[in-house]
Amino acid sequence: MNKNNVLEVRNLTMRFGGLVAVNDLSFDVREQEIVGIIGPNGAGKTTVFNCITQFYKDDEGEIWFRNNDNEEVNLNDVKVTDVINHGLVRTFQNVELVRDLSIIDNILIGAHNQFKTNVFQHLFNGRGVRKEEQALRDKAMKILTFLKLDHLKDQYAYGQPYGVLKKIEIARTLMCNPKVIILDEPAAGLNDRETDELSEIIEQIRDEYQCSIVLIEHDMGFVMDICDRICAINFGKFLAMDTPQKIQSNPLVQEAYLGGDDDVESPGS
Amino acid sequence: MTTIKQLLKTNYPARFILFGVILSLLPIFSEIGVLQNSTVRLIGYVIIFTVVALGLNLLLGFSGLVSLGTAGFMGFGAYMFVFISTNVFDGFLVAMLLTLVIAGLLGAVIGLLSLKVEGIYLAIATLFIGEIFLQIFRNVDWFTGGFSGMRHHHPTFNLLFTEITLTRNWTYVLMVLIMVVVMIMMYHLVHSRTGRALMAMSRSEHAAQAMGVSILKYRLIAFIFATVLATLGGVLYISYFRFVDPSPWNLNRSLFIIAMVVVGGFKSIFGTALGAFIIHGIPELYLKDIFSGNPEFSYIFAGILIIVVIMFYPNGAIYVGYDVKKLYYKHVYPRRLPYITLKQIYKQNLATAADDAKKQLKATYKNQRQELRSAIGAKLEQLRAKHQQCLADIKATYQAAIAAAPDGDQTKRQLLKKQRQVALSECKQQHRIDKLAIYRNAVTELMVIDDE
Amino acid sequence: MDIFFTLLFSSLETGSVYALAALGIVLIFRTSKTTNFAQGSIGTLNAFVAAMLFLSWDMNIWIATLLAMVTAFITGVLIDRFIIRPASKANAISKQIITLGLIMVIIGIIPMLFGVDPLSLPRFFEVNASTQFDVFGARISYNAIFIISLSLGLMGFLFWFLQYTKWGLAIRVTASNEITSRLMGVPTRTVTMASWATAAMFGTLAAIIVAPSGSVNSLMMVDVQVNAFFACVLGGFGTFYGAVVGAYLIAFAKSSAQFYVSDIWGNVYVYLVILLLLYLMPNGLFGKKQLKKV
Repeated sequence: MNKNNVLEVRNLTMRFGGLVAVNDLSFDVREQEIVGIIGPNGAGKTTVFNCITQFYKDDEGEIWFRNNDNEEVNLNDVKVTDVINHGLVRTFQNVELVRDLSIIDNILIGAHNQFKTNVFQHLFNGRGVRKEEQALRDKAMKILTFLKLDHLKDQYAYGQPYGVLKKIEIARTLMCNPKVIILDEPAAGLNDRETDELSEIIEQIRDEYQCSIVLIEHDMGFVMDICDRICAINFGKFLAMDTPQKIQSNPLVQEAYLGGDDDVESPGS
Repeated sequence: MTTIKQLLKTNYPARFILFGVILSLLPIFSEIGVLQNSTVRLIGYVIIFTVVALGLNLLLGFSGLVSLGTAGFMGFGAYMFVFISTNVFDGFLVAMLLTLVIAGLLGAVIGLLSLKVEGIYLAIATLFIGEIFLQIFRNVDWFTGGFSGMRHHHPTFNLLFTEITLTRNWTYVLMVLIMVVVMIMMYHLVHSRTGRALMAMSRSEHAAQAMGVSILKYRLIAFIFATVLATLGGVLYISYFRFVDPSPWNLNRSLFIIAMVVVGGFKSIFGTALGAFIIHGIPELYLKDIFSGNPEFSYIFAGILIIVVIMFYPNGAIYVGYDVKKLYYKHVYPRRLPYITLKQIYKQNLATAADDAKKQLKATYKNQRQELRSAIGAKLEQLRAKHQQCLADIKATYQAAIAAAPDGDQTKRQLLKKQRQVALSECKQQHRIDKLAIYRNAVTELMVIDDE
Repeated sequence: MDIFFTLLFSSLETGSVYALAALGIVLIFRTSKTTNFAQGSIGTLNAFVAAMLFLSWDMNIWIATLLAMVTAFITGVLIDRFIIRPASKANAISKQIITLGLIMVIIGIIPMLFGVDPLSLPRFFEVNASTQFDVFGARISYNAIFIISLSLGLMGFLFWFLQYTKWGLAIRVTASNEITSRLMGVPTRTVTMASWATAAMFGTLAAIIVAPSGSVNSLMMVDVQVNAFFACVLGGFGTFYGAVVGAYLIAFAKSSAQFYVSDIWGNVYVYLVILLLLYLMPNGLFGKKQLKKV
């Protein structure tokens, strides 16, 4: 792996029956970088994320990741539930929270693997369990304060506005000392004000937690505004990866988005 | 008293202990003849069901998995306990622990099955297991005694030099103790990392996996916990009733236990106990005598309750108290507030008043309350008159307008009728606000007078 | 060979009963997204109607059966209209539990309406030496032939109906995606109601068929209900025909295992084999694995 890179996807291919969802895709993510993945609907963006986080086992390719201990691991050798232990964590396109748990409890789920106590100890709720719970609760509280959600901590996730739910999901990813956070359409369903707030939050997270962020998003203004580099794909195939300005002027990308049609608004407008 | 109240507020499990203490006093009432012996036995059965249903609640409420084999495991616990007591070691604790360990292993097998088999397929797979158990209970004579069943004695404890066998009432107390321990453990478990993982697993499997929750591990935990508690229920059953035969452990019994969880309240520990009481206790205690001509009435009761609770009250019966409170604060409390304030002021005055002035104060208070009531009443009366006028005005106006509209113009008439509707509801809304304002003003006035 | 054919004929007869009940369960599962635990109980309730008509009103068994079908239809419609539809927003487990509640209500209502004593129903055709004949050395009665052909005919008609009529198409699309179907103008409410009514009629027919071999009592369908479920998981809930095939397979496996292996443990072995099969094929013999969308 290149020394500056934290994630390298090499020649990733994923097929569903006859459909090639991802076709020989390669890209990399550097330390403390915000990378956007763009592409028309059905381009295979979410499939890429599912392959990286091992929800799907890819057909070909390698996914190299520099983990928290500075070791290089091929994520394809890692179980889906162990991915988070290396410092790679994700959110979901449709918010996936436990509706009937309080917000702080939802965030504590993100710290699942940091608990060292086992189920028998939990039955008896000894001192060790309580101490550990308190320590992680404090950590969760810090994150909530950081995201300005602390006043909501004991409310149920159920019935919260969509913007808050998205923020809770992001807060949950922060519990695990992430090296790379993968956000699947973080701005979808947010209004303009919430989107602006989100871009601020994402940049703050990058600086505060010193991690890289990879995101899929359809809101081009948001992507162009926030990303250091953008990877464009279409029909599972790599089109280009470059800075936002260069991506906008890339003819391949323009064609994929505009299809040569003049009356469609240009991306970024 | 206040310290106990404080303890109950800060330490939730203390409530389970208090609950247990109250329950274990019941045999004393039956000794002195206030309660019938059969009632205590019935409550004993409810306690057994509570233990079993708590296990199922962890499965159903927290982990979103259904089991139709609960009754089979209860029966298994009873038979296994007798078998171990007669053939291995006749002491309650040892035999119970051995039984539970075996049950845990069986639970793990189902847990493994649940990894592959999902949803309704899984529920029916547990039904297979229940049917296999039933066949074993009926036919393996050396283990179960076949249709004639098995007898056993109340629990024995081997102390250093002596052996103690409990009486029936002490067995009851032991069951209460075990139930309280199970409740406390369950409370701790669901409020820990394990509980959160179980909920994450059932509500969103993918998010749980992404957060590092192993589905295998937590399905195993859920099934082991549920089978161990079902089996524990069986152990308590044989220890308390001293007889077991194959008849009770069928699908219907499993369904009843599910009903307890649903009616009492998913995810609620006290709710589960309440559900067990409602489903098993109430029909036997109260309804049997009323509907003595139809012993099956308890079924209708339980059935309708299940349907009604799911359709209209999905949180379960345990929420009734909470909801009643909420309704009270929304609708009744504002109207009562002036009187409550007045009483508070009176009490404050009373506390600081000299002894001989107290009588005087009380008289004044009564007077004041009377005055307040009539003052508010008068204002309400005035408001009502105004409201009636408002309604009448609107009706008259639109009546005229509708009459004036040409006969053929239906759209215009419809429109006018709709407008009338809106105007009327606005008027009613205003009336409601004004009414509340009267109460509020009364409170403010009282406060002002008090300050002076 | 004659033993084989005896087993085959008897399992075709019990298999028909299982298949009728199982098809009702699958029909409801696909259209209402709930497993109807009350399938057997609804059948029992209407079998009581038939038995009462037959015993107290001296009606012909055929007319009694037809009238019981009518009441079954009404029962199905009522249950759908007043219980299932209002609860359609509830989650899957809750809806299942509602049908558990239904069982209890029916078990409680039966003694109120029909008394506590068990009733009895005769066979459609009397079974004696003159109404049986030999096939490959095995005896088969007119009654059994009638039951088997009636069930197969009814199920065949249902499959034809599902496959080749407009309403069959409506049922199939509702089964595959209710919301889209409703948006496309398919009257999904009527489809669901028709499924409940059909399932209730199938369950009732199954109950009337099994009744003569025992008595008409509130627990008479427990065994059928349980085996119909087993048939559904064996064949898979994903197709309509899977449950039918599963039903005949289970009936045959059980009677063979009971005869050749052990009359007590035969059932258990069959259940264990199905469990193992289920572990290997979690969606049944004809079910397809569904890829979960992340």
